[in-house]
Amino acid sequence: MKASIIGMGWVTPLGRDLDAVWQAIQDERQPIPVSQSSSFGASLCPVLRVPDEDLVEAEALPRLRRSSRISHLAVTAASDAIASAGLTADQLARTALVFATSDGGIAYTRRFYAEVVKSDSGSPLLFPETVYNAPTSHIAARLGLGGEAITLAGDAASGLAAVRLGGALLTTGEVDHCLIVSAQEMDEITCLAYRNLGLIRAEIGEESPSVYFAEGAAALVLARNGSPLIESPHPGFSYTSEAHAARQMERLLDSILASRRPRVVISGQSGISPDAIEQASLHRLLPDAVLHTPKKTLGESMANSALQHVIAGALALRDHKSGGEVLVPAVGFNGQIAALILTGSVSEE
Amino acid sequence: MSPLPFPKVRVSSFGCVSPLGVGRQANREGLRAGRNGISPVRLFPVTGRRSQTAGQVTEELGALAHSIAPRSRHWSRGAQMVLLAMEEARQGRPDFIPDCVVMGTTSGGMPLGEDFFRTLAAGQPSHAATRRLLGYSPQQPVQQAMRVFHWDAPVQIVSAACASGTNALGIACQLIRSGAARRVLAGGYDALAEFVFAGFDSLRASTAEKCRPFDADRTGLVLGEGAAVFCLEAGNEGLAISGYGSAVDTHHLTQPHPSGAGPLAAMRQALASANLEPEAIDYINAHGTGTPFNDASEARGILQICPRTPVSSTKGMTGHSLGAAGAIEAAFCCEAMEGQFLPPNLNFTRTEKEFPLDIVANTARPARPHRILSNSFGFGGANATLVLELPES
Repeated sequence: MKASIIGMGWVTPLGRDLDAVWQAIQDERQPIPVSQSSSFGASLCPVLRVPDEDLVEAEALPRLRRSSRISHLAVTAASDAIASAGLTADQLARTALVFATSDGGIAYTRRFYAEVVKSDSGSPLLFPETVYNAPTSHIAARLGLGGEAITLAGDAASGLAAVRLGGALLTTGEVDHCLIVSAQEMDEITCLAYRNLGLIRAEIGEESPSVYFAEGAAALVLARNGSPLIESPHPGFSYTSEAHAARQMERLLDSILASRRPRVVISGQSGISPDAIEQASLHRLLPDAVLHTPKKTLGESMANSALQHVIAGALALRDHKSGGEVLVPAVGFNGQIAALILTGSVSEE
Repeated sequence: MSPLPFPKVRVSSFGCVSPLGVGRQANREGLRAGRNGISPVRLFPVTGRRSQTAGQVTEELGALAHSIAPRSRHWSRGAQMVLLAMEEARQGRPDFIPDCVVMGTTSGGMPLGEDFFRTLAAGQPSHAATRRLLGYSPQQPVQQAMRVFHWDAPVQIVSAACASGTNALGIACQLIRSGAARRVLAGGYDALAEFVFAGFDSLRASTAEKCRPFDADRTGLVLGEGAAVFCLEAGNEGLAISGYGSAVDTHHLTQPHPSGAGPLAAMRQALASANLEPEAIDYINAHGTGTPFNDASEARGILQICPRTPVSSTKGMTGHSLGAAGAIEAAFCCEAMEGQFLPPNLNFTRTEKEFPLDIVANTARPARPHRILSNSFGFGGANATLVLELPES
C-alpha cells in the first residue's frame, strides 16, 4: 500500500499548531497535567486535556451541540486537515473517511449506563452518541464527504490500520482522497481502567509509566500522488503475551528493514510493557536512529497516539531536507502490532 | 481514476451461529422451516422494558466451545460464538491461514464494561474486574478464538453500528482487491448486552410485540445475537461476493433519510461494482428491522431499483444481532443459494399500500437464486450492501 499525505491537522493538549507542537515534542517539553475528577470515590488521575478554546468552532455547530467531546475533537482535527489540503466541495464528494478510535464516546457510554443502573432507564439523547461510529457520522456531515465512511475500533495499532485501509481505498480507485481521523476523549472510567492496567501515570512525576493519559485528535488527508509518501509494507501481527509481542515486533521490523534503513523513528517509549518491547527491538535493529517520543509531551491517547506519530513522522521528514525514511511503529496494549514507513519530503504548497 | 473492476472474492467456507442454531445445517433448516428464534430474555433482568424478548442462542455455548478449546468455557458469550463460527469456517477450508482478519461488531465486550462499572459504583475492589476488562476491547473475542488455531494475523474491528458485519465483509473484499491481503477471515459478532437492550428501549425502537418487518402494522425491532465468519480469497469459483456498496447518509444520527437515498446509493454501488443490472437480482435479503422508519426508508430504496424482486427480512426469526447481522445474513444468503429457497419474512400479515414489495411472507419459497443483494443499515447513516453470487453452472 502506498499513499501520499497532502493535509494534516491535530488537536493536542498543547494546541493545534503543527509547527509549535512539533517543536515542543522535539524539545521534550514536560506537559502540565490536571486532575481528573471521579464520581466513584477512587483516587484521582493526573491527565492532559485539550484547551476548551481549541474546540469552540466545533461546539458552535448545531449538529454537534449534543454530541460527545470525542466528536468535537475529531471534527476539529478533520476540518484542519481538509483546510490544509485545500480540497474543494467537489473533491470532498469523492473523499472517503476512516476513523480510528480506542474507546469511542466513552463518557456518554458511562453516563448512559449510570442512568440505567440508577433508574432503569437512560436518556435517548445519550445512547446514539455511544456507538463507535458517531464521530464518523458527524465528520462526514460537517465536511460533506461523499465516499465510504468506516470506523475501526481497537488499540494503538488501529490508528495505523486506518492509514493502511485508506491506502487500499485509494488503490481500488473508488475515491480520489481519503481522510484518516483518530480521536480520544477523557473520562473517569477509562482513566481508572488504564491506571489500574498500569498504562498511564497514576501520580504526577511517577517514573513508570512515564506518560499521562491524554485526550486529542489527529487527521491526515491521503491522495494517490504527492509527498511525503506513506507506505505500509507489512500488515502487522497479533500477539498473545509480552514475550510473543517481542518476537512479533522483531519479525515485523526484520521484514520492513530488509529493504529500508530509516534514520528517524517516532517511538512510543512510555515505560509500559508494549512500548518497552518496541524500544528493545529498535535498540537492537536501529541503534543509530534518531528517536522522537511524542507521548512524553502529548500523553497517551491509544489509537490517536499512533496517528499523531504519523504526523510527527511527516514533520520530521520535512525537517530532514535531504529526505530519507521515517519509521512509525505501534505496539497496542491489547494484542496488535503494526508499522508504517514515510519517505520523501513534505510539499511546501 | 476509474474504479477497478470488482473481481469476485471467493467464499471458500463459512460458519454461522444464530438464534436459529449453532452451525450451518441448523441455520439452513431453521431458515427453510421459518423457525422462530425469539424467546424471553434470560441473560439479564428486563423488568420494565418495552420488549421482554430477544433472539438468543439457546444452545449451551460454554460446553460447545469447551469441546473445541477447554480454556474457552469461561470466555464471554461473544468470544464463544466467534470461536464456534471460526471453527466451522476452518473445518470447511482446513488449510486456510488468514493474512488479515476483519470483523464487525457494535457492542464488543460490553458486558465486561458493565461489570467494571458496577464494581466501581459499588465501591468494591476493582482489580479482578480490571483484568476482565481487557476483554472489553472489541478485538479480544476475535483474538481469543484465533489463538486456538495459532493464527497471528492482524485484526481490524469495523464498527459501523448495525452495518458493521456487511462493512467488514466489504472491506475484506477491498483489501483483497487492492492487493493488501490475499486471504482474509471476515465476519461479525455481537452478544446480547443489557446496555444495548436499555439503549434501544430508551429510543422506543424495540417492540413489546413480535418483530414484523415490512408489515403495515410493524411496531419495532427485537434484538438478537450471534456470529458468522467467512474464509475469503481471490477466485471465481463457487460462492462469491461479487459486489459491495457503502454510502453514508448524514441526515440524522439515528434516523435514515425518509427518501431511502442511503439504501438506494448502497444498492446502486453494489450492483455497479458487480457489473450487474438490477433485473439480474433474484432476491433481496433486506435489513428490515421492523421499525417504522427503517423499513419505510429501505422499501422506498428497493422500489426505486428492484421493484419486482422478492424481498424478505430474516429478523423476524432471529432478531437484530446488530454488528453480527450483516455477516449472519450473508451466510443466510449463501444457504438460500445452495439450498434453493428464499428465506421467509416471519410475522407478516398486511402489506403497506405505499410499499408494494414482493415479500416472501411467513414461509420459505422454493427458488433457485443465483444473485442476491444483502442490505445492512445502521446508526450514523451507515448503509452497506453486498452482492453474493453462486454461478448457475
